[in-house]
Amino acid sequence: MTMLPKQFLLGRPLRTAQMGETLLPKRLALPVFCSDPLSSVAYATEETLTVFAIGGATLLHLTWWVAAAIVFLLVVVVASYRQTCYAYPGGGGAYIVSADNLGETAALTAASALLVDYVLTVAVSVVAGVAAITSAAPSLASHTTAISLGFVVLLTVINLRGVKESGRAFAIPTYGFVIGIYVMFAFAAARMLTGDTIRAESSHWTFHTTSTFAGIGLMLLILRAFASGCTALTGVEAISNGVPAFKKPKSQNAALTLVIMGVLSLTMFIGITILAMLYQVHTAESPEQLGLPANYSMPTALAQIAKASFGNFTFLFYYVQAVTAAILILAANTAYNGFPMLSSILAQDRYLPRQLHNRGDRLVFSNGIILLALAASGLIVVFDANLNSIINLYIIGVFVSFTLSQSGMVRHWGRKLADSAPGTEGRGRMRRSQLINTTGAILTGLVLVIVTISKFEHGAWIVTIAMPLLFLVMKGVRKHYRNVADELRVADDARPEPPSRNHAVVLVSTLHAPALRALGYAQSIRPDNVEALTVAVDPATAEGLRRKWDSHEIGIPLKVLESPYREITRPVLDYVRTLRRESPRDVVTVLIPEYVLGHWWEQILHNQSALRLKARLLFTSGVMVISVPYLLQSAQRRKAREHKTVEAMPKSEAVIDKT
Amino acid sequence: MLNRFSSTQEELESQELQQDTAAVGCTPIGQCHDREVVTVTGTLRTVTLRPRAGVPALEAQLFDGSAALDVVWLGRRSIAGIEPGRKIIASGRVSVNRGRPVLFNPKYELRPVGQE
Repeated sequence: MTMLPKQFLLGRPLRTAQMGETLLPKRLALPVFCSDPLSSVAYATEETLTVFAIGGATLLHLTWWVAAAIVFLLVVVVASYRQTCYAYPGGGGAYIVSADNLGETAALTAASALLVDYVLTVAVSVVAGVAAITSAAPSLASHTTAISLGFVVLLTVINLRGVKESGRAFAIPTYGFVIGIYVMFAFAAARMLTGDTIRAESSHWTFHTTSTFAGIGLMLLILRAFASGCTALTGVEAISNGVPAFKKPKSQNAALTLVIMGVLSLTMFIGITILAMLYQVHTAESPEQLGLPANYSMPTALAQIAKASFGNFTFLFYYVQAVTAAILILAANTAYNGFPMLSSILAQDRYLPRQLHNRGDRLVFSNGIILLALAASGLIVVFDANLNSIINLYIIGVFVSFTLSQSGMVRHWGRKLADSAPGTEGRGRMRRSQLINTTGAILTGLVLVIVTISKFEHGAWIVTIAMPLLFLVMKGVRKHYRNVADELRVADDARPEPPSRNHAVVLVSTLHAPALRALGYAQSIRPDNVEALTVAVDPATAEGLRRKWDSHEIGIPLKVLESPYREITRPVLDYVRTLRRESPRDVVTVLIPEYVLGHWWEQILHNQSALRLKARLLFTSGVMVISVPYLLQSAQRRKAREHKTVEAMPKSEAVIDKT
Repeated sequence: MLNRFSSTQEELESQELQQDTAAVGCTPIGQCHDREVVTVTGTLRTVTLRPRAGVPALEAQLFDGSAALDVVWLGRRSIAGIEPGRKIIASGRVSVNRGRPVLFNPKYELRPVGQE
């Protein structure tokens, strides 16, 4: 019965054998893995322009150079990750590559960086999307946090339905956004070719700056603009992480999708930047810098470009705005794919709780998805859905993982080159790959330094605390698992050793049907010695039981325990411990008759001393506890009901524990 | 004073029982040796009702804070007053059965439980 809403939300559970059906063709993989990098072109240009706005109009021409650097970096990173897709067809996220080539510390650094960043990606993109919505409908602005959490829940549900289905759901906005931007380019090109001069509404706004920049100050400003523009690169690693989710041939498909993504991002980024420069878009962090009233709501750079390009075709402008908001929210989806995948690999390597490695009903790593949603929701609530404070925490993690994974690849190729004999074919290709990865490693490392310096005081220090913390947690988890495994390990010649004697103790409070069943069962397992145990909390009741015991002629001795403090648990525990002390090589089997009720509210009416006793006995060595259930009518009716529902649907819980 | 808070309930109970043993003037069970005639006192921790089918015997465990001792009355399945929680004084010859001291058919005296 309780399964119905779940089935409605998430769909029917899938068999393990249906795994292949959830693999992604390229056209669906693109929206699944690339919504984040594609969406970042919506704000990458603006971020750069905003930084230069501090320096005034004279610095705007530097945007060209910064944009060129970002384009170059993107090309290098995409090229580097193409190598990774081929070298690690089993999914080569930064973690795997570093673990393989750089050792545990680097791998865990990369993993903690990525985990933190995925959580931030969800928070940032959802909040950014909601900001786009609230700026269109200011009446909703007071509910920003609630709306953001709502979108997180929505994304979680869609992702819990499965990778392929989420790909279908996300395909429309992603492709809609790409088409919208290209149509905008076409419009702009056509109008400019016919001789129109297009200017953005902000072109006549003049910068009111007090500071001038030269020398080192200027250099720092350029670097900061570059760091801000680098948001365009987030999410690129998602594809190399998710190679196993692709249809065969996995590596080729993944590499091709990566290239498609790169081409789309690049052309859109270049196009938007060119239009922004041609239209003389002016944008700044606060309206005062442009000489506008402080509460003036500034349209985003992309909105200005779209408005100017489409001119009278306002519906196209609204279309672009709508798909932009949609893709900004969907960018979170990249994290929804990366985080569960990474956490499952980490769980498999025993760095995170094993539950994260279990696939749920729909063959996705449900626990990872839920954990990500919880973490992101927590972040949104703590930062009160304020985009400006969250966005500064962003990107550091991405570049940590970029740098480590690229360095790992350099090592990887170095090893391959050392292994292959000189003169064999493929060495040239390896050299080229190594060169690409080396360039990538150096560049991303440089960007990491720039990003960290330029964002540290704006809140990035939180990340620099969170990452080592996560690193230590993972180490701790690993240590715990290793200790447990060491303790559980048996020698090669170990055989099962039966205890010398088995002493069975049946707990009896009154002589009712469950007690009789437990006594009968105790005899059937043939222990060396059976006795019944009762606690004389109330002497009259104990005396009554004794008399009944006699009249029923039960052939098992009944031992009555004194209980001067009217307890049940302690006398029984004391007694069992005495037995253990006297003969440590024996085991004691404690049988607890229990009647099972159908409803939780019925449970309240019954004393749960058996449960408490069971919990305590668990910590006594050499004591086996057996519950002998006795189903009451309410429980049997419930069982019959459940039986019917189970027949109606194949499985309720399909989480397979492989460990 | 501090000792009373830091010790567990079991320790406190044992202490009380041991003081009582000394007051009545009996031998602590922990100091009883095999084949010795002793008089001991304490509370009956357990009383076992044997099934009717076997040899009739009433078995109980006496605890005085120092150690436990089995008390067995042969030929009887129950004795009025021999019930868990009861304080008794028992005297007889100690024999050791499987490492535990046993008094067979001891002379016994029931002591009052609480104030009535």
